[in-house]
Amino acid sequence: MITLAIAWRNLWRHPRRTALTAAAIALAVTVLTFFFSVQVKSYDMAINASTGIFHGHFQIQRSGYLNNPEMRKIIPNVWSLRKEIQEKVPGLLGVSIRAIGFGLISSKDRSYGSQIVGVEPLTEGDVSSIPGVIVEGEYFKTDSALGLVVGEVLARNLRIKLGDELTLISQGYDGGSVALALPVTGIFKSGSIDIDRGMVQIPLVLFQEYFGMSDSAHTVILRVLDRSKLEETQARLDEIVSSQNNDLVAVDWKKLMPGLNESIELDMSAGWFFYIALIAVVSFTILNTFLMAVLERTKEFGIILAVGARSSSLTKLVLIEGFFLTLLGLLMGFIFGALVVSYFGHVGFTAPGAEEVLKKWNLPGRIYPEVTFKSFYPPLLTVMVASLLSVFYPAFRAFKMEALKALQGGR
Amino acid sequence: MKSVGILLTLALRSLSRNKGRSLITLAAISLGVMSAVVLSAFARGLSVGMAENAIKTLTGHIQIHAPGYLDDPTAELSFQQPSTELEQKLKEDGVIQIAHRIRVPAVATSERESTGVFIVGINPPEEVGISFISDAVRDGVALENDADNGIIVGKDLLRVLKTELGKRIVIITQDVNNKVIDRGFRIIGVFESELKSTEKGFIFMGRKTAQDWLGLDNKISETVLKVNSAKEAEGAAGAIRQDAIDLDVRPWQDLEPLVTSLTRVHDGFLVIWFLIVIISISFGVINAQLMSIFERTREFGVVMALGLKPRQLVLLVGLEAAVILIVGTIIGNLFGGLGYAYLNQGLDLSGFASASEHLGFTRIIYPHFSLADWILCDGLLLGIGILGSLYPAWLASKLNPVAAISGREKE
Repeated sequence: MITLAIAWRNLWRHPRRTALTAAAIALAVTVLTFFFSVQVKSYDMAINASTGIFHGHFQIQRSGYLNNPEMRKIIPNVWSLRKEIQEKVPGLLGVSIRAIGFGLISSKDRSYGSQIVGVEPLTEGDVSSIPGVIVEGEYFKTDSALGLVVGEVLARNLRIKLGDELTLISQGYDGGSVALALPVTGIFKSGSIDIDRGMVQIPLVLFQEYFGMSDSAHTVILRVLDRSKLEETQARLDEIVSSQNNDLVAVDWKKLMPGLNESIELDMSAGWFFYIALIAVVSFTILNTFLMAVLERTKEFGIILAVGARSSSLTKLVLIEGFFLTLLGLLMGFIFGALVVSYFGHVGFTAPGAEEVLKKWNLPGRIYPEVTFKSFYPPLLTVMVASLLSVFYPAFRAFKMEALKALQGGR
Repeated sequence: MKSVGILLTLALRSLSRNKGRSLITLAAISLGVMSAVVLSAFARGLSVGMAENAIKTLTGHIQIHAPGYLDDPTAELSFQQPSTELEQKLKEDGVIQIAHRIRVPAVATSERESTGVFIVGINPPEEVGISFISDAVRDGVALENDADNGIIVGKDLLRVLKTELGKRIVIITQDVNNKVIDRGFRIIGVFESELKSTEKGFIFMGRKTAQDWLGLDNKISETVLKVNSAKEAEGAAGAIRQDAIDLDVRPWQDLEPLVTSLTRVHDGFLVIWFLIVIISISFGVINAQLMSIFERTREFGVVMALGLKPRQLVLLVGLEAAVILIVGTIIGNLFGGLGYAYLNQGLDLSGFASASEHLGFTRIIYPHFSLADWILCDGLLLGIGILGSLYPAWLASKLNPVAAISGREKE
């Protein structure tokens, strides 16, 4: 106890120095927690947005479909598979079935290549935001609706309006050509440029009928309630697909959107390069403070040693001083960091000119960071470790002191 | 002025008196500067690399289109190939090379698959030095001339269409009257590119072949211009607008909004980051100076008693800080330069191939030397560092000679 009291008092022998050093730690913590919170939150938003628009958290597909989507790689008896999933997998927000093709979409005077997606009208909204972002007309009301919904950019490129007829020309399941004409009953704006520019949706039963797929489809899309339970869901899905015995796999969002997943990893690693540089600069300041704090007390330490203290207790003293100072800096940094993050969590954080970069991540113009354990503990922990490490050398210097030499003021 | 010389000598001596402390401070400054220099060079390298890749791929420095083509890139919105007169004017505006192209969306169909692409009709000799295609053919042969009947496709498109070199694919598109037309073409060459999206997205054919097929006569979709450097594009585009008044003239910055946006984000972020690192460094410098003046209270008392004015004392302490900052900055720049030279062969991000595909950056990032960033960083450091050292200097000047001589900070 007495060591703690002495250590605390020692710190305040040089109030300015202690305050400055603590402030340096605090600055690093504030900066790091802020940047980190913005990163964590934007990844979270990017994952939510990107999985929420169309891809879902999981998809059941034929193995190999992901990298080589082919009309022929189907899931047979897809309805019974869906039923089994709904019965056996808890915590699902939604399950829906899709069939996917590619074809030429023609209006009166424009033709574009586009994805043609057969969707289940009544459940698609549980796994995708598209049914909820219809800007004109409406989404399919029944399974047997006759019509198509089209992305906003594609609609503009095709120069069509609601009610116009579009012709779809594609290849069916057996390789033969498929043609159907349908009126545009809805136009959607998902926010993802690729989807808005290159997708039309039609009801699944219509797709199956025209493409000759009977009761099969290409993918079952799943959305979970709680993203922290992805692993459990994966395990259950793996069980189901392996029992099905027809070469199916459950693919999670990281594989569905490897670009997004890797971009997050890359962005995070790049961030750490910057953070480590800052932490290293601050560590030198801490090292300097404690080296001085030890060396200026050479005589004093000599006396303590001469009256019988062991050098290990001197080391302990210096380490405790370092620990107190670190704690002080961390606490200040935590408070400032939390204030800054809360402020931006309220008004939103944005960078000028960032719109296009944010769009690439499916992010809105502003990020609202949050004070969470996930966004605060890595910076706090890293700064603490670095700060304590920088005290080790001064503490070691204290340990090496010999009473006589120290008393004479030598080192 | 003579007194400054003496003060400088004094400053240097006092810095070398406590070598450990000065070295640690120097290390903090150098490390901070070095990291800022190297990290900013890579941040710049990322956006510069993206811009260079886009320019080299198909964007070029400046593009000219018919008004409305960029929103609706079809054969209908083509324009008469610029006259020799206009080309002469373009050259007076700083254009050093010109290529004319057809570029329209199409659907490419093999026996088994179909996908959306752009067909690009080129005159091969014109593309040399402007776009990548002139030396990107890895298998088969390149287009011989603008009337060549074969097509060049990307390696990844072969995979998507499940076809191979020498086979025919059918391309479906719209002619100048918006009539849907289709025709078989033999794949005579396969190109590779930095990004898979390029390999998947473009099919090259002879310009004359495309014009005849699409019914375009002498009309073209786009004219690509090369100027001396990417930086001159915006200025030159402004001048060209005066000469090609009825056409849509765009510099690459408009055509690649993501790169422009990323550059702006980096502009903002780097300034903020420089400030953060520099303020952290300044904390260290101020701290070291504070310790140094406390140690020398008695000494300051003596020199003040000998007639050194408070103003000169401020100068002395300021000089000490300036010397250490300048030396640290020089060392930091030196090491930064070394790090830059060492990493000049580039940072290989092939491990993040999906991320590079997603965000559109090249797989190897080369550091980009930006003099402006370098000056900004050094200038801010010296400015803020010296400004910060005024605090300990001011404290020193407030010393009372009588009290200070006996080692007390206050009376």
